Amino acid sequence: MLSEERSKDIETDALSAPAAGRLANPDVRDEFGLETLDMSMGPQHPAMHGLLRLILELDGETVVRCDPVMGYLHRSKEKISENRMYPAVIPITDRIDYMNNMAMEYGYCLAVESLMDVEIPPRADAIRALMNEFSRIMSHIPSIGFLLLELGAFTPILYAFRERERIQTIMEAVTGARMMFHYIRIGGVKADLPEGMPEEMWKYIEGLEERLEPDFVDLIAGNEIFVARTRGVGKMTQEKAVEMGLTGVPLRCTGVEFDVRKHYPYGWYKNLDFDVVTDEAGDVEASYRCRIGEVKQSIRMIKQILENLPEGEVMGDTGRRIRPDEGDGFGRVESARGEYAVHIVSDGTDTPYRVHYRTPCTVNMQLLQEIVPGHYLPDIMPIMGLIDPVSGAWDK
Amino acid sequence: MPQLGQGILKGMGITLRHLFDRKVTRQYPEYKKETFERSRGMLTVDMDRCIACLQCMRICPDHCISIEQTKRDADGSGKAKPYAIGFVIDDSRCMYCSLCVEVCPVNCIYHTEEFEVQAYNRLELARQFGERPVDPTIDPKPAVKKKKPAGKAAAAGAGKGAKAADGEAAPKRTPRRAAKKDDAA
Ligand code: SF4
Ligand code: SF4
Repeated sequence: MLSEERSKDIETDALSAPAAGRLANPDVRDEFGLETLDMSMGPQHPAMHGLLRLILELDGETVVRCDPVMGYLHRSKEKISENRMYPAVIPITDRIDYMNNMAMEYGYCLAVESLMDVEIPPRADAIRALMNEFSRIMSHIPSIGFLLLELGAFTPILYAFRERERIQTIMEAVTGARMMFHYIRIGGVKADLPEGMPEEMWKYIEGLEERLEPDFVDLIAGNEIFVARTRGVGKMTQEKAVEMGLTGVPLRCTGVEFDVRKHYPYGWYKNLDFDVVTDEAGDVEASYRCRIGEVKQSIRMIKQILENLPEGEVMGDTGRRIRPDEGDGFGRVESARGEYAVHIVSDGTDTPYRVHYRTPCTVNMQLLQEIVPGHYLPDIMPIMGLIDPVSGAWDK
Repeated sequence: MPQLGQGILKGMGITLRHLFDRKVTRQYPEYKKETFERSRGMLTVDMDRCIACLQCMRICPDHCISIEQTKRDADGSGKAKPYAIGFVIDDSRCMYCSLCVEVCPVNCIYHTEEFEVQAYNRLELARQFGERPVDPTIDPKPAVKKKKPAGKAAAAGAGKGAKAADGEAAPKRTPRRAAKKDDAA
């Protein structure tokens, strides 16, 4: 419990002086007697990827300090999960990272399955990986579009949403919904791919491969304005990235080779041949190159899966009622934003005792505090594009 | 060193080429997007086939189905069977997760292709299917799950008040009916 004084302090802080208390020296004046300026960016800001408030301290146009304030989209996912039956939690996980829902379902199902004695049929495993890779493309391409949109280029977002729309159509035909799929189930997947779907996916993937190079590489990578705005911006070292506990693209763009799919393989990823895309520069431009590289790897994986899709059932035998054994269940997957892990404590009943979602965004967001100071105010947008957070995922 | 402005010119070329591509947007209210066999739109119930087993009501995570049950000899077989006299689906709560559709033993609750829902107030979104309207504001599953250790819960008897009634297709009683039975005993 907070003491009354302390909670009153917090209240006044929030209302009047946004950063007092956390500021090392609130009365900084330079030799001309000029103060720094406190400014609040967000929570309602179009470039804030949802609801995020940044408390900035500005010296002219240079940011001296940046405090991200999270929690504006808190929906109490973990508590809700405690009050639901195991299968009914899956639609909840869909809404955590709403840009990459499939990975969220996958992590939860892996965690529950680790407590159960159930065998996943190979076809279900392959379809899970297939849908996951589609979901990754569906998330990476718009995030490139958003990065460019925030830099003032309007064209890439249109191309990105054209691709997203096409994948969503495929997803709707397979899962029944365009965003909140509820497709991966404990023990398998909801239903087999519809008739003729593998061919359609193959056709789409070939088309995307053709379009990716001109629409997302030639258009963006060589553009002088893009290079000027992103090269060297948000630069961080490998040591810093590891120390901060980053995962996903922000980590890999500094050159650290870490990917859960590769290093702790799960499901069908054991059978797939792919590279972990890394880059040396560790700035915004490098993160863009990493994302493009990952989309290419996803295309490669989807082709491999479609080429030898195993036959058979898509649902393992979980029994009529899902009641995992007592104990701790754990599942980790590589989502589009980094490592996503789910920890479940089961007390042997049909609702979880405790569920924790470790979303990559929550951790990656701390980076703002570290790398934003020293940059200009407009550089915050490309740095947000580097981290590519999703509001639903950092607040849960 | 590449000439300054080359990248921009290249980009312009790409956008110019897209100018002659086929359009990918559609004029929404006039041209709707195609739906698929599996598309999950608004729910509807075929009341003639519903056997009032209440499974959909129990599984719904958002508590949006309420059913008022009675006994009636609907098919003239001389035996009174459970009959859903009131059936309401509150679309303002439904998240189209399809759990109720999967659990229904006679496949009489299903998704339609309809996806445009609008109303001036929340109550209008509750759609009545039965003969007698059901108040959608009353929570059909008011019992709150109590956290009990597994052993204790089992000792307390099969789910009697120990668990919420949201069992997945579980052969359990709703609190209301359980209470009735107790009265009779
Ligand atoms: S689709 Fe889901 S939320 Fe909607 S009524 Fe059925 S079970 Fe409830
Ligand atoms: S599950 Fe089907 S049959 Fe049973 S009450 Fe619901 S709609 Fe009627």
